[in-house]
Amino acid sequence: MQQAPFVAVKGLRKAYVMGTEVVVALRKIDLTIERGEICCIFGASGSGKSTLLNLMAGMEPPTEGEVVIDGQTITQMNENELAAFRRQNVGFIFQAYNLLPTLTAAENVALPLAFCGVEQKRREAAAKSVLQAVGLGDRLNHYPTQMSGGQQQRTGIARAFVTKPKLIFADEPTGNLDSKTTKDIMDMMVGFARRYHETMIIVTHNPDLAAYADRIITLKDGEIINDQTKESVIV
Amino acid sequence: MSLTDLLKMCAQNLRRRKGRTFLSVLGVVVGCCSIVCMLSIGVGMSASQEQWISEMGDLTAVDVYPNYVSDTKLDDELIAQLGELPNVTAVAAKLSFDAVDFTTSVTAGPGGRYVSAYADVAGYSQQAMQSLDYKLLEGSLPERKGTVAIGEAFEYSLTDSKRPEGRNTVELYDPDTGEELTGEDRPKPFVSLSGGKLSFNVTDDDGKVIYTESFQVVGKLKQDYNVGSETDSGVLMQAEDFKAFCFNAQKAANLKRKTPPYSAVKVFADEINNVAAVEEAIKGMGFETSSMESMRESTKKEMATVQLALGGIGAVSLLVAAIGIMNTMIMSVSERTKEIGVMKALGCGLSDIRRLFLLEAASIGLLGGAVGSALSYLISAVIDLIYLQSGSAGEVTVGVIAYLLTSPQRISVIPLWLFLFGLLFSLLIGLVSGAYPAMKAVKISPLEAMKNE
Ligand SMILES: Nc1ncnc2c1ncn2[C@@H]1O[C@H](COP(=O)(O)OP(=O)(O)O)[C@@H](O)[C@H]1O
Ligand SMILES: [Mg+2]
Repeated sequence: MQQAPFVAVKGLRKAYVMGTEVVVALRKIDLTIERGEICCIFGASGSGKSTLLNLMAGMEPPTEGEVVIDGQTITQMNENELAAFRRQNVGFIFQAYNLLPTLTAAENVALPLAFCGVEQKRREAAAKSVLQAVGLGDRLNHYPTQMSGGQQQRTGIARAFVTKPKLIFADEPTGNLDSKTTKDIMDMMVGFARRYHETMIIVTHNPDLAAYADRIITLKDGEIINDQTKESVIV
Repeated sequence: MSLTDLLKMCAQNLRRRKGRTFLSVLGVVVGCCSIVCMLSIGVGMSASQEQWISEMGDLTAVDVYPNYVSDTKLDDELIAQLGELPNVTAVAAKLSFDAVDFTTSVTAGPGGRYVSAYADVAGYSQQAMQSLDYKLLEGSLPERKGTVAIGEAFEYSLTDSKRPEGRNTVELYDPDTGEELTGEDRPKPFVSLSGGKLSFNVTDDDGKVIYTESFQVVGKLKQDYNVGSETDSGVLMQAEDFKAFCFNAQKAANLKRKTPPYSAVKVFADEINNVAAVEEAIKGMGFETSSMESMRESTKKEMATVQLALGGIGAVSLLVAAIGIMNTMIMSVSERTKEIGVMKALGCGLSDIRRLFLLEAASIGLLGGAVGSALSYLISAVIDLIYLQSGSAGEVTVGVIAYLLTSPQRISVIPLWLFLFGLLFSLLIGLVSGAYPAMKAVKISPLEAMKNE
């Protein structure tokens, strides 16, 4: 018997109704992603990349179709179940880093563990070791405003990996960074994902980023126009 | 998230916006102070009312009167029935010469020189005497047969039969001002009966003495009309002695032998709160009653109205504070939309978001309540200071405030319950004001995290 795919997207469609106008962001997406795959969703601005990511992460409901992750149909879950699903299975890396300004780097990284109910001592230890791994061992007690964009994003990466999620989503993770830092960040993200054998879905319009992925899915006007797997990418 | 985590986060958020938090807390402090101080005046007023009423008589006593319409009598059968009512601890039935068919005068001194034509005599059972709360100026109550206690001014009611008319009594009132002479100015009576004897004499229509009986004076009662007129210029004796005297007098006067009826009956309830029920029961038996309860009841109602009005004035300012909290929280939620979205994207449960915002609002309420309630003690002292007009005496020291807080004449009183009420009410106000903003926070979509400005 063939094993079910890790992520399965079936007949996904998303339309936004704005007054009398209907904007179709996604037409009809069918897609499967295997465990451990580093997958890039590539396309021009407005092609529906972010919408696809949001639907796969259960951040908003689709108009039609379903998303199954690791056997769980997330498009049928209510808000509470989705929150629980995200906290147990999903990590996020945001374009704007989205660190909480009142928390230190260590506290920000420990936050998803607090949502999971992990006790403080263990949380702190885990946050510290992940921050050391991203090279911020000396910045544990710094607040977001006291760090550069690259440092903030490395904190963001630490936060995404700290719960050892099965799946990591990143929407334009280097959109706010210069090209030198972009390279460092991408090396780190992809390096971590490969080392821990995590599945990662990166959304970008930047071809340089797409080069890091095992597989590039190209969107245009809400449809997949190209799906290409690279065999040779090993770091 | 654990409660500690939530509390920590809540503290961080409140600290982040110190100025705004401070102002919202200040609003609650003012609101809490005004409601607590307003109510404290109500409490002080009812306390002094209660004090005033209790000075007018025993609050647990119920007077029982016959109902002439249904033709009921104050007799031994009734006394027995009253004694068996629930919540009744004692029954005091008064025997007096008001309802007998013979005339009695009192004489004292050698040869019966000192005379009172009328005798205000009260006969009570031993047990009734104990429950009537007599105060003694000297000696004891008439606990043995053949003894009596006299009222405070009884000796002044005796006239000296050896002096001419007009000078045969001791004048207790100043002839010029008409005021009663007390203390040092009070003249001595003609005769002191302490340790002496007095006689009750029954006379016939011609004024001839047909029966006489003498009693040992063992005590003097302090005047208190709440207990009875015998404490003034009367005589108190045992019910047994009283009855025996009546039977002998009736025999001497050739009257039919009959037990004299009771002239007044008092019933004592075990506690103030049961007085109304005891009165109901007695009325149900066909008698009329009266007690301090009805008066207490009406002043209580009056006080409740005053409390409500005062509390209402205070509540308005707490309402304003509630609006302040709500405003602060709504602003906080809209400012933190992105943050909340991020927390939700990272898997924070809806209940944790709700609890976080409720906790922040409740903390503002509790903080304001704690400061406000504590501050109220100070304000209460200042109110008393102004009320008692002792402020001009000198500077306000801790000692003065401590004195004011324990002084019995305060107009503003904050009992522990009022302090706790201020605290909890403020907390509740915080929670209620936080409910709507918390609901708004819960509704924020995790997609907010994905938006880029
Ligand atoms: N919340 C929304 N309401 C209305 N239209 C939306 C909304 N989100 C996205 N869209 C529209 O859907 C399309 C795809 O958007 P998006 O997925 O953000 O594209 P991308 O991430 O590839 O730039 C765009 O035309 C956009 O205007
Ligand atoms: Mg996008």
